[in-house]
Amino acid sequence: MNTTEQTATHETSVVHLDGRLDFLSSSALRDELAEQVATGRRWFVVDLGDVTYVDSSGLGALISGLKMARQSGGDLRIARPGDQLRTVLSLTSLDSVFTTYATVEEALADH
Amino acid sequence: MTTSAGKALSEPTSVLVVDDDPDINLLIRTRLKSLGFQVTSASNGPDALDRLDEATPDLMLLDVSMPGMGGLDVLDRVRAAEMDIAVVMTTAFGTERVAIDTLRRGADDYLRKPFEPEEFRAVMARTATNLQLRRKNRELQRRIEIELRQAADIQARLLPDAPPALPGFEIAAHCEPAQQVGGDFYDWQLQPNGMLSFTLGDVMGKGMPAALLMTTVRSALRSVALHNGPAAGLHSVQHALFSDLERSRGFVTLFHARLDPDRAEVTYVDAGHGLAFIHHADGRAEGLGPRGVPLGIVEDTEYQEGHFCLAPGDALVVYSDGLPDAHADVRLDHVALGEHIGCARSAVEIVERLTQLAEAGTSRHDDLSLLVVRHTQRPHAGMPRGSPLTIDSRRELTGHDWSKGEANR
Repeated sequence: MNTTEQTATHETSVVHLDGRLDFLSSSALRDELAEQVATGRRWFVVDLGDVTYVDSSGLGALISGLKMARQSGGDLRIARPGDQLRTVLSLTSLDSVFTTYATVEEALADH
Repeated sequence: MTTSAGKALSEPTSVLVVDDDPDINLLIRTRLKSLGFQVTSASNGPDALDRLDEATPDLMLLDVSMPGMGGLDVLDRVRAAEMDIAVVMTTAFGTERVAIDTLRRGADDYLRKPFEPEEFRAVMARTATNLQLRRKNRELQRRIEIELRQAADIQARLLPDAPPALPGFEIAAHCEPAQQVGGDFYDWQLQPNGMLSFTLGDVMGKGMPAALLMTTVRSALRSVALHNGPAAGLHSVQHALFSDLERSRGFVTLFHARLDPDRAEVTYVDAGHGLAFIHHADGRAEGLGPRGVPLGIVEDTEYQEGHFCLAPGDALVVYSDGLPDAHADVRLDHVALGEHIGCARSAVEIVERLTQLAEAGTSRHDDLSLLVVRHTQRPHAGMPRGSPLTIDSRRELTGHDWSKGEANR
Protein backbone atom coordinates (compact mmCIF):
# COMPACT_ATOMS: atom_id res chain seq x y z
CA MET A 1 0.00 0.00 0.00
CA ASN A 2 1.21 3.49 -0.80
CA THR A 3 0.22 6.56 1.11
CA THR A 4 0.60 9.92 -0.45
CA GLU A 5 -0.29 12.88 1.61
CA GLN A 6 -1.33 16.11 0.09
CA THR A 7 -1.89 19.00 2.41
CA ALA A 8 -4.76 21.25 1.58
CA THR A 9 -4.35 23.79 4.38
CA HIS A 10 -2.34 23.80 7.58
CA GLU A 11 -5.20 22.08 9.41
CA THR A 12 -6.43 19.88 6.60
CA SER A 13 -4.88 16.85 5.03
CA VAL A 14 -5.80 14.60 2.14
CA VAL A 15 -4.44 11.10 2.47
CA HIS A 16 -4.50 9.07 -0.68
CA LEU A 17 -4.21 5.30 -0.37
CA ASP A 18 -4.02 2.51 -2.87
CA GLY A 19 -3.87 -1.27 -2.86
CA ARG A 20 -5.24 -3.15 0.13
CA LEU A 21 -5.95 -1.56 3.48
CA ASP A 22 -5.46 -4.65 5.60
CA PHE A 23 -3.69 -6.13 8.58
CA LEU A 24 -0.28 -5.17 7.19
CA SER A 25 -0.93 -1.67 5.88
CA SER A 26 -3.39 -0.41 8.48
CA SER A 27 -0.84 0.26 11.22
CA ALA A 28 1.09 2.50 8.79
CA LEU A 29 -2.09 4.50 8.17
CA ARG A 30 -2.80 4.74 11.89
CA ASP A 31 0.74 6.00 12.57
CA GLU A 32 0.54 8.47 9.71
CA LEU A 33 -2.74 9.94 10.98
CA ALA A 34 -1.47 10.08 14.58
CA GLU A 35 1.61 11.94 13.44
CA GLN A 36 -0.44 14.46 11.52
CA VAL A 37 -2.80 15.04 14.44
CA ALA A 38 0.28 15.60 16.60
CA THR A 39 1.44 18.34 14.21
CA GLY A 40 -1.88 20.17 14.40
CA ARG A 41 -3.94 18.77 11.53
CA ARG A 42 -7.50 17.82 12.38
CA TRP A 43 -9.50 17.71 9.14
CA PHE A 44 -8.78 14.58 7.18
CA VAL A 45 -10.01 13.31 3.88
CA VAL A 46 -8.97 9.73 3.25
CA ASP A 47 -9.20 9.05 -0.45
CA LEU A 48 -9.95 5.35 -0.89
CA GLY A 49 -10.76 5.48 -4.60
CA ASP A 50 -7.77 3.30 -5.48
CA VAL A 51 -8.12 0.93 -2.55
CA THR A 52 -9.36 -2.47 -3.63
CA TYR A 53 -10.07 -4.03 -0.25
CA VAL A 54 -10.51 -2.91 3.36
CA ASP A 55 -10.51 -5.52 6.10
CA SER A 56 -11.44 -5.12 9.75
CA SER A 57 -7.94 -3.93 10.70
CA GLY A 58 -8.27 -1.28 8.01
CA LEU A 59 -11.61 -0.24 9.46
CA GLY A 60 -9.90 -0.10 12.85
CA ALA A 61 -7.29 2.32 11.51
CA LEU A 62 -10.00 4.55 10.00
CA ILE A 63 -11.91 4.51 13.29
CA SER A 64 -8.74 5.40 15.23
CA GLY A 65 -8.15 8.27 12.84
CA LEU A 66 -11.74 9.41 13.19
CA LYS A 67 -11.51 9.39 16.99
CA MET A 68 -8.22 11.30 16.98
CA ALA A 69 -9.57 13.87 14.55
CA ARG A 70 -12.79 14.41 16.48
CA GLN A 71 -10.92 14.68 19.79
CA SER A 72 -8.99 17.55 18.20
CA GLY A 73 -12.23 19.18 17.11
CA GLY A 74 -11.94 18.01 13.51
CA ASP A 75 -13.23 15.08 11.48
CA LEU A 76 -12.20 12.31 9.15
CA ARG A 77 -14.13 11.89 5.92
CA ILE A 78 -13.96 9.04 3.48
CA ALA A 79 -13.81 9.97 -0.17
CA ARG A 80 -14.51 7.62 -3.06
CA PRO A 81 -15.29 4.42 -1.09
CA GLY A 82 -15.38 1.27 -3.22
CA ASP A 83 -18.26 -1.22 -3.33
CA GLN A 84 -16.60 -3.59 -0.89
CA LEU A 85 -16.09 -0.84 1.69
CA ARG A 86 -19.64 0.45 1.20
CA THR A 87 -20.96 -3.04 1.92
CA VAL A 88 -18.78 -3.37 5.02
CA LEU A 89 -19.79 0.08 6.31
CA SER A 90 -23.42 -0.80 5.82
CA LEU A 91 -23.21 -4.25 7.44
CA THR A 92 -21.36 -2.91 10.45
CA SER A 93 -23.63 0.17 10.70
CA LEU A 94 -20.47 2.25 10.57
CA ASP A 95 -22.10 4.28 7.81
CA SER A 96 -23.77 6.04 10.74
CA VAL A 97 -20.34 7.02 12.06
CA PHE A 98 -18.43 7.91 8.90
CA THR A 99 -19.47 10.47 6.34
CA THR A 100 -18.57 9.39 2.82
CA TYR A 101 -18.22 11.54 -0.28
CA ALA A 102 -18.14 10.82 -3.98
CA THR A 103 -15.10 13.06 -4.56
CA VAL A 104 -12.22 14.51 -2.57
CA GLU A 105 -13.38 18.02 -3.49
CA GLU A 106 -16.84 17.46 -2.02
CA ALA A 107 -15.32 16.09 1.16
CA LEU A 108 -13.07 19.14 1.44
CA ALA A 109 -15.88 21.58 0.67
CA ASP A 110 -18.23 20.24 3.35
CA HIS A 111 -16.90 21.97 6.44
CA MET B 1 9.24 -20.04 32.59
CA THR B 2 12.33 -22.24 32.93
CA THR B 3 14.11 -23.30 29.85
CA SER B 4 16.84 -25.71 28.93
CA ALA B 5 19.63 -23.19 28.83
CA GLY B 6 22.26 -25.64 27.58
CA LYS B 7 23.83 -24.79 24.30
CA ALA B 8 21.41 -22.04 23.44
CA LEU B 9 22.82 -19.62 25.94
CA SER B 10 26.45 -20.70 26.38
CA GLU B 11 29.15 -19.61 23.99
CA PRO B 12 30.31 -22.21 21.50
CA THR B 13 33.59 -23.62 22.85
CA SER B 14 34.22 -27.16 21.62
CA VAL B 15 35.85 -27.87 18.26
CA LEU B 16 36.54 -31.08 16.39
CA VAL B 17 39.53 -30.80 14.06
CA VAL B 18 39.44 -33.21 11.10
CA ASP B 19 42.61 -33.37 9.02
CA ASP B 20 44.60 -36.33 7.72
CA ASP B 21 47.92 -34.45 7.91
CA PRO B 22 49.15 -34.91 11.53
CA ASP B 23 51.28 -31.76 11.44
CA ILE B 24 48.50 -29.51 10.19
CA ASN B 25 46.07 -31.18 12.57
CA LEU B 26 48.41 -30.37 15.47
CA LEU B 27 48.94 -26.80 14.23
CA ILE B 28 45.19 -26.13 14.07
CA ARG B 29 44.66 -27.64 17.52
CA THR B 30 47.39 -25.49 18.99
CA ARG B 31 45.92 -22.32 17.50
CA LEU B 32 42.42 -23.17 18.67
CA LYS B 33 43.66 -23.90 22.20
CA SER B 34 45.40 -20.53 22.29
CA LEU B 35 42.05 -18.97 21.31
CA GLY B 36 40.41 -20.70 24.27
CA PHE B 37 38.59 -23.57 22.51
CA GLN B 38 38.35 -27.15 23.80
CA VAL B 39 39.71 -29.30 21.05
CA THR B 40 39.33 -32.91 19.93
CA SER B 41 40.63 -34.35 16.68
CA ALA B 42 40.07 -36.98 14.02
CA SER B 43 42.38 -38.03 11.20
CA ASN B 44 39.85 -39.14 8.57
CA GLY B 45 36.17 -39.06 7.62
CA PRO B 46 34.91 -42.24 9.33
CA ASP B 47 36.90 -41.35 12.46
CA ALA B 48 35.23 -37.92 12.44
CA LEU B 49 31.74 -39.44 12.16
CA ASP B 50 32.53 -41.75 15.10
CA ARG B 51 33.57 -38.76 17.19
CA LEU B 52 30.39 -36.90 16.23
CA ASP B 53 28.36 -39.92 17.29
CA GLU B 54 29.90 -39.81 20.75
CA ALA B 55 29.33 -36.10 21.34
CA THR B 56 28.53 -33.26 18.98
CA PRO B 57 30.98 -30.40 19.41
CA ASP B 58 29.91 -26.83 18.67
CA LEU B 59 32.20 -26.45 15.68
CA MET B 60 34.19 -28.56 13.28
CA LEU B 61 37.19 -27.66 11.14
CA LEU B 62 36.95 -30.12 8.27
CA ASP B 63 39.57 -30.80 5.62
CA VAL B 64 38.09 -31.05 2.12
CA SER B 65 40.66 -33.49 0.69
CA MET B 66 41.28 -36.59 2.70
CA PRO B 67 41.94 -40.13 1.48
CA GLY B 68 38.81 -42.29 1.38
CA MET B 69 35.85 -40.35 2.65
CA GLY B 70 36.46 -36.68 1.83
CA GLY B 71 35.40 -33.65 3.84
CA LEU B 72 32.41 -32.91 1.59
CA ASP B 73 31.03 -36.42 2.19
CA VAL B 74 31.35 -35.89 5.95
CA LEU B 75 29.65 -32.50 5.55
CA ASP B 76 26.76 -34.06 3.64
CA ARG B 77 26.22 -36.65 6.37
CA VAL B 78 26.36 -34.03 9.11
CA ARG B 79 23.82 -31.84 7.36
CA ALA B 80 21.57 -34.76 6.45
CA ALA B 81 21.52 -35.74 10.14
CA GLU B 82 20.66 -32.12 11.03
CA MET B 83 23.40 -31.98 13.65
CA ASP B 84 23.62 -28.75 15.60
CA ILE B 85 27.17 -27.91 14.56
CA ALA B 86 28.92 -25.17 12.60
CA VAL B 87 31.35 -26.45 9.97
CA VAL B 88 34.36 -24.58 8.60
CA MET B 89 35.94 -26.30 5.59
CA THR B 90 39.70 -26.16 5.13
CA THR B 91 41.70 -26.88 2.00
CA ALA B 92 45.11 -26.36 0.49
CA PHE B 93 43.75 -26.32 -3.05
CA GLY B 94 41.30 -23.55 -2.66
CA THR B 95 39.54 -22.25 -5.70
CA GLU B 96 36.46 -20.05 -5.68
CA ARG B 97 34.45 -22.90 -7.12
CA VAL B 98 35.38 -25.24 -4.25
CA ALA B 99 34.51 -22.52 -1.73
CA ILE B 100 31.09 -21.92 -3.26
CA ASP B 101 30.43 -25.64 -3.46
CA THR B 102 31.17 -26.14 0.24
CA LEU B 103 28.92 -23.26 1.28
CA ARG B 104 26.14 -24.52 -0.94
CA ARG B 105 26.37 -27.92 0.71
CA GLY B 106 25.89 -26.42 4.13
CA ALA B 107 29.32 -25.31 5.35
CA ASP B 108 29.31 -22.17 7.47
CA ASP B 109 32.64 -20.83 6.29
CA TYR B 110 35.80 -21.66 4.47
CA LEU B 111 39.52 -21.35 5.29
CA ARG B 112 42.40 -21.66 2.85
CA LYS B 113 45.73 -23.21 3.89
CA PRO B 114 48.16 -21.94 4.90
CA PHE B 115 46.14 -20.04 7.48
CA GLU B 116 46.70 -16.37 8.10
CA PRO B 117 46.50 -16.06 11.92
CA GLU B 118 44.22 -13.02 11.72
CA GLU B 119 41.89 -14.58 9.18
CA PHE B 120 41.82 -17.79 11.18
CA ARG B 121 40.82 -15.93 14.32
CA ALA B 122 38.22 -13.85 12.47
CA VAL B 123 36.59 -16.84 10.79
CA MET B 124 36.42 -18.78 14.06
CA ALA B 125 34.95 -15.82 15.93
CA ARG B 126 32.38 -15.12 13.20
CA THR B 127 31.35 -18.76 12.96
CA ALA B 128 30.98 -19.07 16.73
CA THR B 129 28.88 -15.89 16.89
CA ASN B 130 26.63 -16.99 14.04
CA LEU B 131 26.14 -20.37 15.64
CA GLN B 132 25.16 -18.78 18.92
CA LEU B 133 22.69 -16.46 17.20
CA ARG B 134 21.21 -19.35 15.28
CA ARG B 135 20.74 -21.31 18.50
CA LYS B 136 19.14 -18.36 20.26
CA ASN B 137 16.78 -17.84 17.34
CA ARG B 138 15.84 -21.48 17.32
CA GLU B 139 15.19 -21.42 21.04
CA LEU B 140 13.02 -18.31 20.74
CA GLN B 141 11.17 -19.79 17.82
CA ARG B 142 10.58 -22.97 19.78
CA ARG B 143 9.26 -21.06 22.77
CA ILE B 144 6.93 -18.97 20.62
CA GLU B 145 5.65 -22.08 18.90
CA ILE B 146 5.00 -23.83 22.21
CA GLU B 147 3.22 -20.78 23.59
CA LEU B 148 1.12 -20.39 20.47
CA ARG B 149 0.22 -24.07 20.50
CA GLN B 150 -0.85 -23.83 24.13
CA ALA B 151 -2.79 -20.64 23.40
CA ALA B 152 -4.52 -22.32 20.45
CA ASP B 153 -5.37 -25.28 22.65
CA ILE B 154 -6.84 -23.03 25.34
CA GLN B 155 -8.80 -21.03 22.78
CA ALA B 156 -10.24 -24.18 21.24
CA ARG B 157 -11.36 -25.29 24.69
CA LEU B 158 -13.12 -21.97 25.23
CA LEU B 159 -15.62 -22.95 22.57
CA PRO B 160 -18.68 -24.53 24.17
CA ASP B 161 -19.28 -28.26 24.36
CA ALA B 162 -21.96 -29.93 22.31
CA PRO B 163 -25.09 -27.78 22.29
CA PRO B 164 -27.86 -28.67 24.71
CA ALA B 165 -30.61 -30.86 23.28
CA LEU B 166 -33.52 -28.55 22.54
CA PRO B 167 -36.60 -30.37 21.32
CA GLY B 168 -37.33 -29.32 17.77
CA PHE B 169 -34.08 -27.44 17.25
CA GLU B 170 -30.59 -28.29 16.20
CA ILE B 171 -27.53 -26.16 16.56
CA ALA B 172 -24.20 -26.50 14.81
CA ALA B 173 -21.13 -24.28 14.68
CA HIS B 174 -17.61 -24.08 13.40
CA CYS B 175 -14.69 -21.81 14.27
CA GLU B 176 -11.30 -21.83 12.65
CA PRO B 177 -8.63 -19.15 13.16
CA ALA B 178 -6.60 -18.10 10.12
CA GLN B 179 -3.47 -18.31 12.26
CA GLN B 180 -3.02 -20.50 15.33
CA VAL B 181 -5.26 -18.27 17.41
CA GLY B 182 -7.80 -15.69 16.31
CA GLY B 183 -10.48 -13.17 17.18
CA ASP B 184 -13.58 -15.15 16.22
CA PHE B 185 -15.67 -17.10 18.66
CA TYR B 186 -19.09 -18.55 19.23
CA ASP B 187 -20.74 -19.51 22.45
CA TRP B 188 -24.01 -20.81 23.83
CA GLN B 189 -25.52 -21.33 27.26
CA LEU B 190 -28.81 -22.80 28.33
CA GLN B 191 -30.52 -20.29 30.60
CA PRO B 192 -32.33 -21.48 33.74
CA ASN B 193 -35.63 -20.52 32.09
CA GLY B 194 -35.02 -23.07 29.33
CA MET B 195 -34.05 -20.54 26.69
CA LEU B 196 -30.82 -20.81 24.76
CA SER B 197 -28.50 -17.84 24.72
CA PHE B 198 -26.04 -17.89 21.81
CA THR B 199 -23.44 -15.58 20.33
CA LEU B 200 -21.07 -15.22 17.43
CA GLY B 201 -18.36 -12.59 17.77
CA ASP B 202 -15.54 -11.26 15.66
CA VAL B 203 -12.79 -9.15 17.21
CA MET B 204 -11.02 -6.82 14.80
CA GLY B 205 -7.74 -8.10 13.48
CA LYS B 206 -6.33 -11.56 13.85
CA GLY B 207 -3.68 -13.57 15.64
CA MET B 208 -2.66 -13.07 19.26
CA PRO B 209 -3.87 -9.46 19.73
CA ALA B 210 -7.36 -10.39 18.53
CA ALA B 211 -7.31 -13.56 20.63
CA LEU B 212 -6.56 -11.63 23.82
CA LEU B 213 -9.57 -9.37 23.29
CA MET B 214 -11.72 -12.29 22.18
CA THR B 215 -11.28 -14.08 25.50
CA THR B 216 -12.12 -10.86 27.35
CA VAL B 217 -15.30 -10.26 25.38
CA ARG B 218 -16.37 -13.88 25.64
CA SER B 219 -15.92 -13.93 29.42
CA ALA B 220 -17.77 -10.66 29.95
CA LEU B 221 -20.65 -11.82 27.79
CA ARG B 222 -20.74 -15.26 29.37
CA SER B 223 -21.10 -13.80 32.83
CA VAL B 224 -24.20 -11.80 31.91
CA ALA B 225 -25.81 -13.92 29.20
CA LEU B 226 -27.06 -16.57 31.59
CA HIS B 227 -29.59 -14.31 33.30
CA ASN B 228 -30.17 -11.47 30.83
CA GLY B 229 -31.95 -10.88 27.58
CA PRO B 230 -29.81 -10.01 24.55
CA ALA B 231 -29.99 -6.20 24.77
CA ALA B 232 -29.55 -6.08 28.54
CA GLY B 233 -26.59 -8.46 28.29
CA LEU B 234 -24.95 -6.50 25.50
CA HIS B 235 -25.39 -3.21 27.31
CA SER B 236 -23.70 -4.67 30.41
CA VAL B 237 -20.79 -5.90 28.31
CA GLN B 238 -20.50 -2.57 26.56
CA HIS B 239 -20.46 -0.78 29.88
CA ALA B 240 -17.83 -3.14 31.28
CA LEU B 241 -15.55 -3.24 28.26
CA PHE B 242 -15.83 0.08 26.46
CA SER B 243 -12.76 1.66 28.03
CA ASP B 244 -10.73 -1.55 27.55
CA LEU B 245 -11.64 -1.68 23.89
CA GLU B 246 -11.01 2.04 23.50
CA ARG B 247 -7.57 1.85 25.08
CA SER B 248 -6.56 -1.18 23.08
CA ARG B 249 -7.96 0.43 19.93
CA GLY B 250 -10.00 -2.67 19.30
CA PHE B 251 -13.58 -3.27 18.41
CA VAL B 252 -15.75 -6.30 18.15
CA THR B 253 -18.83 -7.17 16.15
CA LEU B 254 -21.34 -9.39 17.91
CA PHE B 255 -24.51 -11.20 17.03
CA HIS B 256 -26.00 -12.05 20.41
CA ALA B 257 -29.34 -13.78 20.62
CA ARG B 258 -31.73 -15.88 22.64
CA LEU B 259 -33.93 -18.66 21.39
CA ASP B 260 -37.22 -19.37 23.09
CA PRO B 261 -37.75 -22.97 21.97
CA ASP B 262 -41.39 -23.08 23.07
CA ARG B 263 -42.34 -20.19 20.82
CA ALA B 264 -39.62 -20.83 18.21
CA GLU B 265 -38.79 -17.18 18.64
CA VAL B 266 -35.35 -15.62 18.38
CA THR B 267 -34.62 -12.28 20.04
CA TYR B 268 -31.32 -10.74 19.05
CA VAL B 269 -29.06 -7.73 19.04
CA ASP B 270 -26.62 -7.08 16.24
CA ALA B 271 -23.63 -4.95 17.19
CA GLY B 272 -22.19 -4.12 13.78
CA HIS B 273 -22.06 -7.75 12.75
CA GLY B 274 -24.56 -7.78 9.92
CA LEU B 275 -23.58 -11.22 8.70
CA ALA B 276 -26.71 -13.11 9.65
CA PHE B 277 -29.80 -14.18 7.77
CA ILE B 278 -32.73 -16.56 7.90
CA HIS B 279 -32.54 -19.38 5.40
CA HIS B 280 -36.19 -20.23 4.93
CA ALA B 281 -37.35 -23.75 4.25
CA ASP B 282 -38.27 -22.73 0.69
CA GLY B 283 -34.72 -21.46 0.04
CA ARG B 284 -35.49 -17.77 0.46
CA ALA B 285 -32.82 -15.70 2.28
CA GLU B 286 -34.05 -12.98 4.59
CA GLY B 287 -31.68 -10.40 6.03
CA LEU B 288 -32.06 -9.09 9.55
CA GLY B 289 -32.36 -5.68 11.17
CA PRO B 290 -31.99 -3.55 13.23
CA ARG B 291 -28.25 -3.23 13.69
CA GLY B 292 -26.04 -1.01 15.80
CA VAL B 293 -22.35 -0.17 15.57
CA PRO B 294 -19.65 -2.58 16.74
CA LEU B 295 -18.75 -2.63 20.42
CA GLY B 296 -15.93 -0.26 21.34
CA ILE B 297 -16.70 2.57 18.94
CA VAL B 298 -19.45 4.78 20.33
CA GLU B 299 -19.89 4.87 24.09
CA ASP B 300 -23.42 4.33 25.43
CA THR B 301 -24.83 3.08 22.15
CA GLU B 302 -28.41 1.91 22.56
CA TYR B 303 -28.81 -1.44 20.87
CA GLN B 304 -32.28 -2.35 19.62
CA GLU B 305 -33.55 -5.88 19.88
CA GLY B 306 -34.98 -7.62 16.85
CA HIS B 307 -37.34 -10.60 16.88
CA PHE B 308 -38.38 -13.29 14.48
CA CYS B 309 -39.87 -16.75 14.57
CA LEU B 310 -38.26 -19.73 12.95
CA ALA B 311 -40.80 -21.78 11.03
CA PRO B 312 -40.17 -25.52 10.68
CA GLY B 313 -37.31 -26.01 8.24
CA ASP B 314 -36.05 -22.45 8.72
CA ALA B 315 -32.47 -21.87 9.83
CA LEU B 316 -30.75 -18.85 11.29
CA VAL B 317 -27.27 -18.59 9.76
CA VAL B 318 -24.67 -16.37 11.43
CA TYR B 319 -21.11 -16.17 10.12
CA SER B 320 -17.96 -14.06 10.17
CA ASP B 321 -16.33 -12.16 7.31
CA GLY B 322 -13.85 -14.99 6.85
CA LEU B 323 -16.55 -16.59 4.69
CA PRO B 324 -17.28 -13.82 2.15
CA ASP B 325 -13.67 -12.61 2.21
CA ALA B 326 -12.41 -16.04 1.17
CA HIS B 327 -13.85 -15.28 -2.26
CA ALA B 328 -12.47 -11.88 -3.15
CA ASP B 329 -13.73 -12.15 -6.73
CA VAL B 330 -17.37 -12.97 -6.00
CA ARG B 331 -19.92 -11.10 -3.96
CA LEU B 332 -21.23 -13.58 -1.42
CA ASP B 333 -24.35 -11.93 -0.09
CA HIS B 334 -27.17 -13.67 1.73
CA VAL B 335 -28.89 -14.69 -1.47
CA ALA B 336 -25.70 -16.24 -2.85
CA LEU B 337 -25.03 -18.03 0.43
CA GLY B 338 -28.61 -19.25 0.51
CA GLU B 339 -28.09 -20.82 -2.90
CA HIS B 340 -24.99 -22.61 -1.62
CA ILE B 341 -26.93 -23.93 1.33
CA GLY B 342 -29.58 -25.14 -1.09
CA CYS B 343 -31.69 -27.86 0.41
CA ALA B 344 -29.29 -28.87 3.17
CA ARG B 345 -31.27 -31.03 5.56
CA SER B 346 -29.63 -30.21 8.88
CA ALA B 347 -27.74 -27.52 10.76
CA VAL B 348 -24.59 -29.62 10.54
CA GLU B 349 -24.99 -29.92 6.79
CA ILE B 350 -25.43 -26.16 6.43
CA VAL B 351 -22.26 -25.54 8.45
CA GLU B 352 -20.41 -28.12 6.37
CA ARG B 353 -21.51 -26.61 3.06
CA LEU B 354 -20.52 -23.11 4.10
CA THR B 355 -17.18 -24.28 5.54
CA GLN B 356 -16.43 -26.03 2.27
CA LEU B 357 -17.38 -22.89 0.40
CA ALA B 358 -14.89 -20.88 2.47
CA GLU B 359 -12.20 -23.52 2.06
CA ALA B 360 -12.64 -23.45 -1.70
CA GLY B 361 -11.87 -19.72 -1.65
CA THR B 362 -8.69 -18.36 -3.10
CA SER B 363 -7.93 -15.74 -0.47
CA ARG B 364 -8.22 -17.27 2.96
CA HIS B 365 -6.68 -14.73 5.32
CA ASP B 366 -9.30 -14.21 7.96
CA ASP B 367 -10.71 -16.19 10.86
CA LEU B 368 -13.82 -18.14 9.96
CA SER B 369 -16.76 -18.88 12.19
CA LEU B 370 -20.29 -20.12 11.58
CA LEU B 371 -23.28 -20.73 13.79
CA VAL B 372 -26.55 -22.24 12.62
CA VAL B 373 -29.78 -22.69 14.59
CA ARG B 374 -32.38 -24.69 12.71
CA HIS B 375 -35.97 -25.51 13.45
CA THR B 376 -36.27 -29.19 12.59
CA GLN B 377 -39.98 -29.70 12.85
CA ARG B 378 -41.69 -30.37 9.57
CA PRO B 379 -44.56 -28.05 8.71
CA HIS B 380 -47.76 -29.27 10.22
CA ALA B 381 -50.90 -29.13 8.15
CA GLY B 382 -52.86 -26.04 8.97
CA MET B 383 -50.11 -24.46 10.97
CA PRO B 384 -49.23 -21.06 9.58
CA ARG B 385 -45.57 -20.53 8.71
CA GLY B 386 -43.52 -18.64 11.20
CA SER B 387 -46.16 -18.46 13.88
CA PRO B 388 -45.31 -19.42 17.41
CA LEU B 389 -46.29 -22.95 18.20
CA THR B 390 -49.09 -23.24 20.70
CA ILE B 391 -49.18 -25.83 23.42
CA ASP B 392 -51.85 -27.69 21.50
CA SER B 393 -49.91 -27.96 18.32
CA ARG B 394 -46.94 -29.20 20.30
CA ARG B 395 -48.99 -31.92 21.82
CA GLU B 396 -50.26 -32.97 18.43
CA LEU B 397 -46.74 -33.16 17.14
CA THR B 398 -45.40 -35.24 20.00
CA GLY B 399 -46.30 -38.38 18.15
CA HIS B 400 -43.84 -37.46 15.42
CA ASP B 401 -40.41 -36.43 16.54
CA TRP B 402 -40.93 -33.32 18.59
CA SER B 403 -39.37 -34.74 21.72
CA LYS B 404 -36.39 -36.11 19.88
CA GLY B 405 -33.44 -33.84 20.55
CA GLU B 406 -31.61 -33.25 17.33
CA ALA B 407 -28.87 -31.08 18.64
CA ASN B 408 -25.65 -31.58 16.87
CA ARG B 409 -22.16 -30.52 17.49
